[in-house]
Amino acid sequence: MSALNANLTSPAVLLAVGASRLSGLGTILAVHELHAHTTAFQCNQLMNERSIDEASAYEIAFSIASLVINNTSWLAVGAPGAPTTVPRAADGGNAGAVFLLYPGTDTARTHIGYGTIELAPAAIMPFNLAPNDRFGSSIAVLGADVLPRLLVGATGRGTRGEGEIIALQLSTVDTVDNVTHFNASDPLLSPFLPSGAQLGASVASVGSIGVTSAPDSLSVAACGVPRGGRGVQSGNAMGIVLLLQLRRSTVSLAGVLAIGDGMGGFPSGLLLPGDRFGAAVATAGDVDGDGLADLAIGAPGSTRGGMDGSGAVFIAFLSVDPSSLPGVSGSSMGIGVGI
Amino acid sequence: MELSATGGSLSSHLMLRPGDAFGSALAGGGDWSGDGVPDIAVGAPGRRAVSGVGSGAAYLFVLAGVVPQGRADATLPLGGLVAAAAGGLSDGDNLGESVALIGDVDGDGVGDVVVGAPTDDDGGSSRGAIWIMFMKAAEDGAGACGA
Repeated sequence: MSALNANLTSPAVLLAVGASRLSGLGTILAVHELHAHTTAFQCNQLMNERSIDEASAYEIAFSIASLVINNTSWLAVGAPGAPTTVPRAADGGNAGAVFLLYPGTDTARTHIGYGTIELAPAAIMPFNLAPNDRFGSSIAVLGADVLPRLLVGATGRGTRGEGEIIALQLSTVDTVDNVTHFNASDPLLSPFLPSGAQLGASVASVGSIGVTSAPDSLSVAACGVPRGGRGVQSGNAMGIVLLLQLRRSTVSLAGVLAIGDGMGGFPSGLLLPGDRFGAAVATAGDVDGDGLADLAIGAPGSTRGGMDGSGAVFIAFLSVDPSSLPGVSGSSMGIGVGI
Repeated sequence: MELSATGGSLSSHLMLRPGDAFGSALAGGGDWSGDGVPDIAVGAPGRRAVSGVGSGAAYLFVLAGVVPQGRADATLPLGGLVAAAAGGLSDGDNLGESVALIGDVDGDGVGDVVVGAPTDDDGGSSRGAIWIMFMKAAEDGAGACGA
């Protein structure tokens, strides 16, 4: 497969940054833009078959994650607007896709070369996508194996549009097996997923916090549900973040801790309907210096200072809680959360 | 710890406006300032100019930890620089809907950043675009990204 290094729309651009507030901070050396319509994306055979020039609102880069395969940095790029078929059927939009961009051979580093592999056709993934699934709404990488496991959000899946997180184990760089679906059919998750909850709007790997004594070497993933909440009938848009305790070997769900207004250590009264708490989640690194990674949570609909929808970011300080905060259904996550 | 129009001393660096949707995307773990406290990248795809026209934005925030109180010490805006590049952004591109740290792509010892603009219309409606921001160390030698 060809690399994209000769097909970027813009060459390296040197930019001067003069703002005084940048003192002590990195500055931007150059900017590249990768456009979907260029021959760059089409140089890959898969993409030629897919023909991204077909008139479709792919929404490429709705989500992005970096990953390492065979000691090389790749990008996983979500395109939740991708159609189910080409050309797009009348009702075939927004099934979604994830593109794996692999580095090219340009050693001059004045350009970045990328080829593409698309995770969407049934030939690659052992399940079908449907219109409006919006697969690729979010992406995270779980584990550091030679071929990593991807967690991909699909906010439109589910009989009531509750959304879903799909764990995909790559068996080769362009083949998927061992698929696991996390959705409202699981009794640990269903209490938090009203109609239109948008599970899968965001996802991040948090590591093994609080689970070191578990027998199956559990890992924790943070999943944002920006229109979810406990005990609500339909998406109230206040939002919630679910920490999913996953058994590493089978990627099955062992426990859930909900973080939201007045839940899971998060204070009451900071969130309101419309805040979309959990629209974004990310590991923030160890901000408080306690040796454990902390969690950044976005609430882009928040109103602060009278400015509607200006947005907010919360840093949730995670800790190993000796008292073991109770999860649902009797599970114990052993994770403390402070803001 | 809250970063918002009224939290985390953010207003001394960045004046948020209605509809900015600050916090729509997040990426953390890098340490561009080299102070040992990880910094974060935040997307604000709804960011517009006062005139109402705009294409979104993304920012890097240098965090000062939590003693005595968490705050953002400096802000590096990314969107304006993208807009200045050839084939730049246009109204409604929603730059900052996604953001990720991608390690040191250009080999200069400083971690780089990728930012998505999923409703970029170049070549067709909402095709989307990916911007790779090549970072470099500040002239005072502040540390490299740890991502």
